[in-house]
Amino acid sequence: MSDPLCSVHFNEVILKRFKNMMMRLKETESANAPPAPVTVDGRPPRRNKREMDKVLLAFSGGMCSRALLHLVNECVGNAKRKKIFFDVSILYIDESAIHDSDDGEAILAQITSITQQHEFPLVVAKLEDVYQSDSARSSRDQLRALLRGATTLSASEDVLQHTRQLLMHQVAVGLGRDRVLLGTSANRIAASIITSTARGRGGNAVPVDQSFSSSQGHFPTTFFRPMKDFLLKEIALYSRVNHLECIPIPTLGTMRGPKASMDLLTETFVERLQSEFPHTVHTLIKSAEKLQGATIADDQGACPICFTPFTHAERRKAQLASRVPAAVDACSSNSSSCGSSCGSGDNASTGGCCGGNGCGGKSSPVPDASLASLRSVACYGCQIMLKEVSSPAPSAPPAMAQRAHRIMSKADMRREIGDYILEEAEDR
Amino acid sequence: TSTFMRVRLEFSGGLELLFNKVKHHEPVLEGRDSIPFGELLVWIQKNLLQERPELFMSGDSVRPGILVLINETDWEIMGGHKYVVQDGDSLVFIPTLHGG
Repeated sequence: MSDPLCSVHFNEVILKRFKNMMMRLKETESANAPPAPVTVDGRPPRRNKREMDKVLLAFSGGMCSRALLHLVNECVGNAKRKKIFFDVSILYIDESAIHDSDDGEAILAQITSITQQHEFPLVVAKLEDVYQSDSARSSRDQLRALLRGATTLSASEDVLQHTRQLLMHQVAVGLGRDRVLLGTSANRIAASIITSTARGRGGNAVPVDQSFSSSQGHFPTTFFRPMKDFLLKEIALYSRVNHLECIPIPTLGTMRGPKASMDLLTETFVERLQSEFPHTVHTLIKSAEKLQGATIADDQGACPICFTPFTHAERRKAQLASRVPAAVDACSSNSSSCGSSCGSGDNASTGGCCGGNGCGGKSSPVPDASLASLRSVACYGCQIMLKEVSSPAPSAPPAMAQRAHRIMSKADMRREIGDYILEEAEDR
Repeated sequence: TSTFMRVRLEFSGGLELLFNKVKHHEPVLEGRDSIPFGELLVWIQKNLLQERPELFMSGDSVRPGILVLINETDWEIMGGHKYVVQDGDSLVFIPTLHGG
């Protein structure tokens, strides 16, 4: 390990490392950027460094995102020399609907007072907005039912994570910002590598979750993790040296024991190893960097719940998935009124509307679809999660149901015209 | 002779919840002018820690993931759990897990 540094040098080192990450970000083409025109000598022109790239910074009030905010400000703010040009908005997700405390307003006030110190506009989105309902109360209730439907803490954490991600997508698209900055630390990534593998997501989610940037082919939002090489210890020291206040916000795992969920268990495991062998986190990350995940060419190539690219086997399975046969006209609402005829052949979903043909017709928006009904087109990891979701299952956020619907429609279409296809084109 | 020592303790980042929501403590330890870090931890557990000892300690040291600063310096530079705490030292305990 290197020599001890005084706090001034420590700050400089951290800032320099971070600036390199931001420059890398600057040079990464947007997922949906039009192809650069080719110049006379055949090479694409260099990107204009002074162009203001629009980013959305995900801020939770916690230590890592607080440090991220401070560091971004150092790069972008009043710096006169070597300024990096970004147009930053801050996103805070209000999750008070799923926590019993009344601290929602007080926490929001603290969040606002922190973000006001840096002149970046703050956007607040409520987690229940994924339900896009006209009634705020209905959205809140549906979100609560969603979280309550998870019977284990591990499943709740998964569900929460996917819901958050969906909301970030939706907000980013709504604001026309196709880049989201996350404060994910090296330790977090190291633990999630093990957790994801244990939860059946090793093949597809791990390469995505550990990457500096992850964009899903034609999906508009790219997630960046500029803190991925920073240890929690470094972030904590940076935070202390710069007197950064953070807000410890209660989350699902707060005050639970170290074995309450898979994630808490692996976190404890990694931290214990790291305290005795300080290269643990680094080694885990370097190993995972070698993994190559699938890329998504079309919107049938990703799990409708967690958005990670399907592996070959999962894609095959999704292609075979069928919606409910036309006979089920009675399908008009979610949950128990739907009989057991719902669902694909060998994968009868446990109660819950499939959102299939009988309901509202092909061109109308997908009605309430239960989370369980998405199982036939979900990735392996999400299928494991769904096993830990109670029956009758809560209704899925509409965007997830819509994505599932598209996959199932394409599977139908493939079957209908299958006889007419002379040769099966292998989808990439 | 009546020797004693005073230390300044700070529990931050949510750890204070285990210490009656009080962040700063300045205990006085009678009859000594220094104390090995491990012993001080035991003293803290006995006299200040209100609940959930497993979230603060692990065996006879702090729970992995808790950063300790001794006089605003990374404790690893000061000798880690082998450090002998002196009169007037300040110790800060910062949890890094659930960093957000």
